[in-house]
Amino acid sequence: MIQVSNLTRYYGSLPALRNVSFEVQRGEIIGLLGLNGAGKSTALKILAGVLAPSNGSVSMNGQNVTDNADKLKSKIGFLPEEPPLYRDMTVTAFIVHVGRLKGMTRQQALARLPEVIRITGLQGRENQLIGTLSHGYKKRVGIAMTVIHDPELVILDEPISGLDPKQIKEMRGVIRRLGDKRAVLISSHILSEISKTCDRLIVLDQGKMVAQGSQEDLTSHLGNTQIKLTVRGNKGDFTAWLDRHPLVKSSKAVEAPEDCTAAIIKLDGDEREALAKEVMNAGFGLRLMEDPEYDLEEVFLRFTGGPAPLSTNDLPVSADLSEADAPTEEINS
Amino acid sequence: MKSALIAWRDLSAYLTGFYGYAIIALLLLIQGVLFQAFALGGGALESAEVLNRFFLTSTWATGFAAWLLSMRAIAEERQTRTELVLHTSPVNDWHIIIGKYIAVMGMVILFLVCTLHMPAMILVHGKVSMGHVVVGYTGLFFYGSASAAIGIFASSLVRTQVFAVILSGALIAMLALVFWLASVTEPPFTQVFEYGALYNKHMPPFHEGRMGLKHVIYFITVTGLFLTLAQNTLNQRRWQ
Repeated sequence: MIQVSNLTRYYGSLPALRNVSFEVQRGEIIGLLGLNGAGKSTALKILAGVLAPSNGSVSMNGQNVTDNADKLKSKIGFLPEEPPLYRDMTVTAFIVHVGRLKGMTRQQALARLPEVIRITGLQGRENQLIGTLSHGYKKRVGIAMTVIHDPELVILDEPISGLDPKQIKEMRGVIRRLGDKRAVLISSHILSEISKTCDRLIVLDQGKMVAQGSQEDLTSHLGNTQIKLTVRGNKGDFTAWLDRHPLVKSSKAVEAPEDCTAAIIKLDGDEREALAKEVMNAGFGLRLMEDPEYDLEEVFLRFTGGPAPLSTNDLPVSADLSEADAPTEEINS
Repeated sequence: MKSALIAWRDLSAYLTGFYGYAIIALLLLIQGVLFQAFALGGGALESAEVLNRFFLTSTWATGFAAWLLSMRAIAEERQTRTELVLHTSPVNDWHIIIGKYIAVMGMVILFLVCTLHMPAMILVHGKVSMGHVVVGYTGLFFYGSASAAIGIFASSLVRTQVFAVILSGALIAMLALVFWLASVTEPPFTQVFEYGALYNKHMPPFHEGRMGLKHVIYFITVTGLFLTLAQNTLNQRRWQ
């Protein structure tokens, strides 16, 4: 559906994006990952038709986005990092206004409005002035303006930045629902979040695409297996056992449930079955063997050679973000 | 249609906020004082002369209204980053410029309507022709139109409303005062500067109730020129 070919963009003589190519299919949620200045926002703006590439092209259903920007903008929804909102308008008036700018009649926009309000969780705020809304609700209004015209491609630049954990959880549900029938492209600084929301990741570094694939694909490039092992037993004994075990390349103790000990362990190869057997032979009660959540940070470091962006572990409020997504709803096409 | 949407949004913003009313109220106050002191004062005058003076003071008030109302047209969108609402929609630069122009002119017309009681008093208490009133207001409309176009152009050039109002003020003043150059230059520059001046040559005929085609063409040309420049500026910035 979306074909990006050798996309290059210069700001003056400074290259912001260099020969980036990828494809996006309908129903896919793609995450753009990169440090500040990696070229994420530039790429998204070009895809949205608001910035022209210096070289290369973006086509949507075979039509060049830059050449047919006015025609294709009614099929694209773009939410920049800071939602562009008219603070003096009510939520309803603003969403309908954007729908009409996108080419809908007033009747069409009003007919679709309840669905969009429901999807974005803006019930009860319809007649509130946008300027009086909280940051989280402003983001929701931003999403609403992005999807009011039922676009085929939704582009969200840092959609969860500045949101609290509860809002992030709700926003994740909103994004997943958008991805049911559309192509969705998102960029995010929150590393673990992007892996939870996206089907495929594209890693950008200094304007270049350095990797793309699912989290599993990218992790497999690391060359060794990393697991999180939780056992019942003494922490000191377990740590000492890991330190001297030949299958274990390195280990790091992490937080564990009561009466248990846990560690992130790197193995030379996929020796998980052998390790499990030996853990039990050593007298530790094996409780859990799982992929650690921050694999993606390793991937990022490996491909960019720089520090990883924030993970949800760095957020100030602790909350279980991996559970309880909002109930699945669909957007009518 | 797209221009009408943009115009309607901007007009709503003027009419639901404090800003538009504040400017109109302030200028009506100044206009009222000037009408009393300058148009009605100074001894017995013929009604036509009073009306002439009313249009003279109104010209400056209308220019100020268009100048102050147009400063936010594009600069505010850029300042608050809401220009992306327009740039991510199938809306071209002409739609934006025309929409902004219609909104500013809507407010200028509202201001002009609010001044109607003053010529109405002259009509009631004196003897003036309706044609004089219509031509005078037509001139005010054209003067407001040219000032609004200059203001919108300035607003398209800068990032903040403060810079927009300074720049457009400088441009309007320069264009209004260019006739001074006519007195210190030789032909054909004398004629060029005389014809180019925003006020001196082109507004007095309207004040006196005489509508000349060349004056109408002048104001339409200035309006079109500055709106085209604004459109070009938007186009350049969009792809930067």
